[in-house]
Amino acid sequence: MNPFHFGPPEALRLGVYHPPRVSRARDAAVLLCAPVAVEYQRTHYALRLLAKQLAASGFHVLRFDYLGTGDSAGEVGDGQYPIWVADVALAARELRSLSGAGTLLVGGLRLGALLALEALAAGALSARAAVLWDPVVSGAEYLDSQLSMDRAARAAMGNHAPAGGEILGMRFPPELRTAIRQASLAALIERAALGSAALVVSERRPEFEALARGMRARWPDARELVAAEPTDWRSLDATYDARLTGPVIRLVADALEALA
Amino acid sequence: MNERAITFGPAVNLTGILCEPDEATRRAGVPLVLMLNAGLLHRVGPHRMSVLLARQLAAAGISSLRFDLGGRGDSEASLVTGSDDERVLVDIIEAMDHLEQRGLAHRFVLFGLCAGADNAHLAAVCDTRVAGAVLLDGYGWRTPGYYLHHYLPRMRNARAWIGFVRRLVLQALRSRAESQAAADAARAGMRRPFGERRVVEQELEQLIGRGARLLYVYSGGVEGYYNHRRQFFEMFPHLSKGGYVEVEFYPRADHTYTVASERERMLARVVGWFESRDWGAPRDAPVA
Repeated sequence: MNPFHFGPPEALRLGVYHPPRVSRARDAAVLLCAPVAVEYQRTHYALRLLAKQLAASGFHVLRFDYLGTGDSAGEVGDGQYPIWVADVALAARELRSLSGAGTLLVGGLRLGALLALEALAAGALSARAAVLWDPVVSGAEYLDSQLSMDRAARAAMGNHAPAGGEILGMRFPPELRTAIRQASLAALIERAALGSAALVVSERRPEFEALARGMRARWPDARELVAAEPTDWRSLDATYDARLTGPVIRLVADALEALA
Repeated sequence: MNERAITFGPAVNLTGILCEPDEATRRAGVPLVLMLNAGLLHRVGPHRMSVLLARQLAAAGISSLRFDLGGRGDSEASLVTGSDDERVLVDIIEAMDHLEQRGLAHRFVLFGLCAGADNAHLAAVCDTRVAGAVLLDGYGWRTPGYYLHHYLPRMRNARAWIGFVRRLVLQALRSRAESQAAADAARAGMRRPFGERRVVEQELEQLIGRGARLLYVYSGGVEGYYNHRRQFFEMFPHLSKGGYVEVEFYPRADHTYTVASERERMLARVVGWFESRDWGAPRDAPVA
């Protein structure tokens, strides 16, 4: 894997490019879009493992940190949501340039799936297909869940007053909260510049069922895959302790391979 | 400030971000800061702690490398066989060798949280190029003062007395093993095996003997084994002289400094410590 910086010199993003295994190299690349905040640190290793599996299967793969997150420049500030959406398109251009691949696939985890679909729906990029992995279906529900965990954390720490607009250690300015709260994956599915898509979920939930129906209405071949082990995205303990397991990572890799 | 991703190690398996100040602001004589993984988290650290520290240090003229040990974050597992400690040590030494061979530094200060602090101690003892360390929620043993700080506030509280008597009755009813397990679980917090206090004391005396500077920072997240600022010097009374060891305690911070104000206070303290220390030449020559 090759870590490198890309983007404008005054606001560099960190990317990690996984070249394909030479003997199996394909004319296809996968852009992986990570979650943010506390889910970013929880899922970093899982996305690395996914990238490694995909590269071993012959894909060019790029992981990256959005502006203001991870090793990328800056801090989370005003106007962050459209910046993150633009980062998806920026990273896709970088991946096409690095790989020269003719086919682009997108894998999005949690908020990363929502941001990827925003970019695809805005026409900032187009892709052969996308795999949505435990995606944030409703921005409002996601934000409420993060706020609920934040309150639990503050209570455990002696009732610190909320400060600086942070949620579980990352700044969420009002503008960002509003943008996330208004986001809906179902609405984006209808407009996304995608040839097909698959949904990989770690447990059956009504919102995933509804999303799968919407996906099949748009793409009749859209698949819904359910992992054997549920991933708890809603409790504070799980946020710090749980690791994503191999079977769900394998499922996502298989789904991307099937769509290539 | 300039940041660049680097890979190094015998199998080019280790990945890190080198963060350097602008030439005009570079502070001469200050060792390069090596930031270690906090447990299994990748080099960015909890809530971007290591990224924020690296950039604040660069603004103060100090260089750093935050990198992933083999098998963590973006680093492939090292090919070295041996115990976890041995493999960690090899990776940290690889990082120092790489930076020294490229003329970027010949002395280092290690920064680590939790298991990162334990690894920083390990490497500091083994390599004389380490001129200091910042250890967050590092080693700790309960002292008489710990128990005083733990029980005294509760003894002033009538409800706590009722709870205490209730627990005594319940404990008498339960099997000894069951109550011991429950008590251990409740007190454990972020406690982990720390080895022999006397051995660690000898190692710290050895570090100070060669002029290393140490900053210990404890959070409220480890109140299971550390609960007041002076506790460090109760554990190691011989280390209180000479100003080689400084100790800070943030009782309202959790183990990963989730709250921004606590995180910023801790980072400011760490940067201030770097700026205020005399980083003159160590007493012993560096390892060849």
